[in-house]
Amino acid sequence: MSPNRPRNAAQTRADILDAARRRFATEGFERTTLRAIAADVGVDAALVIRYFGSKQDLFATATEFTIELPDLSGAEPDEIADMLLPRYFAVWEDDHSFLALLQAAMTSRVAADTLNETLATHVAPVLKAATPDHAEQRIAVTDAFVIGLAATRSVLGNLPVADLTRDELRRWAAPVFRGLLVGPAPT
Amino acid sequence: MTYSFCVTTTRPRNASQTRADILSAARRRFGAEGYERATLRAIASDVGVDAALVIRYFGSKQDLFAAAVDFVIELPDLSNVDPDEVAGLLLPRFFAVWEEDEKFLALLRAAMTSPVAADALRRVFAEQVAPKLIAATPDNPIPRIGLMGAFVIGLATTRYVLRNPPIASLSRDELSRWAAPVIRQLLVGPAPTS
Repeated sequence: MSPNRPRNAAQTRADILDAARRRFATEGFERTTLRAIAADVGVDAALVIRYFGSKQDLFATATEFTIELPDLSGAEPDEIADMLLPRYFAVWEDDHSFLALLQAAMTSRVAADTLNETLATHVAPVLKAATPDHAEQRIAVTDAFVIGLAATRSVLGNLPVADLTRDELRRWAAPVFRGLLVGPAPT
Repeated sequence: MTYSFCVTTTRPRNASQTRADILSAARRRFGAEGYERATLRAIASDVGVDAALVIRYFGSKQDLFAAAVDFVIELPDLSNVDPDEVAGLLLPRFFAVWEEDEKFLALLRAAMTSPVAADALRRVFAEQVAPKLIAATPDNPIPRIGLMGAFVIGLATTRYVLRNPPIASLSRDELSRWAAPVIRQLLVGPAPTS
C-alpha cells in the first residue's frame, strides 16, 4: 500500500499496536479484525500475524500495561492515598493500553476477564499489604472506586469529576482510600 | 427477504409488544456494539420486522437510542436528612437502577465508546442525580458529587459489566455495609483540609 513510506520493523510494530488499541477500544475484542488493523497501518494481515500471532495475542500485547504500585506494608494510613494516586494517575491518564482495555472490557468478556485478572494479580496483593482485616471486601470496593475514577475522568470525560484538578481529586479521594483500606470495618 | 416476510406474517403481533421488543433489541445492540455501530436494520432484524417500521415507531437512530435508555432514577429528597442515613436512603435506589432495569447498563456500556451516549449519561446525571445529591451536601458540592458519581459508576462497572469476582460475589447487604461509609464521607463528611 505504501511503497514510498519508509518502514522499519520497530516502527511498524508500534503503529500496529496503536491501531489495535484504537480498534479494540472502540469496537471491542470480538468485532475487531486483524484485517482492519492491518489496513489502518497499510500492511498485510499476514504481517500482523507474523509479528504478534493471533488476535488474542495481539490484544494481550496491545493492552498490556504496567502498574507500579508502592509497598504499602507499614505505610501510615494518612499517606496511603498520596502513595497510590500518582501511580493510578500515571495509568489512567498516560497509558493508552489501560484505557483501551477498560473500554474494550465494557463490551467484551475476553477483555473484562483480562482486566479482572490484572486487578487480581497485580493490584490486589499490593493493596492487601495495607489492610488490617476483610482484605477481599476492602480491595473490591477500592477497585470499584478506582475504576470509577478512571472511567469518569479519562473515558467519559464529561461528568463533574473530570473538571477537578489532580490535587483537588487527591484531597477528596484520600479519606475514601484511607477509610476503605484501613478504616474501621463496618459493623 | 422471503424469510423475514414469513416471520412477520406467522408471528402474532400487536403494536405495543412490537415496540417493547424493538426497545429490548435496541438496548442489547447499543449496549454490546456501542451507539455508532448499532444499526436500525440489525435491530429490526432481531425482532423480525422491517427497518422502516422501526423508523415509523421511533424516528431516527438517535431518537430510538433516547427512547431505549430513557429511565427515571427515583432518588429521595436528601435535604435535612441525618448524615448517618444518607447512604441507607440512596443505596436501595442505586441497586434498583443497576439490577432491575437494563436501561442503565446499556447506557453505561454505550457511553464508554460513544460521545452521543456519553452525553446522554451526562444529562441523566446532571438532571436527575446531581440536584438530589447536592441537597445533601454541606459545602463543596462539585467535588463531593463528582466523586460520588465516579464511585457509583465504578460500582456499576466492576459489579455488573466487568463482573469482577471480588465485588460481584458480595451480597447486596455486604456491599452496602462497605459502600455506606464512602457515600457518607463523600457527601456529608468533613471537607479535606490539605
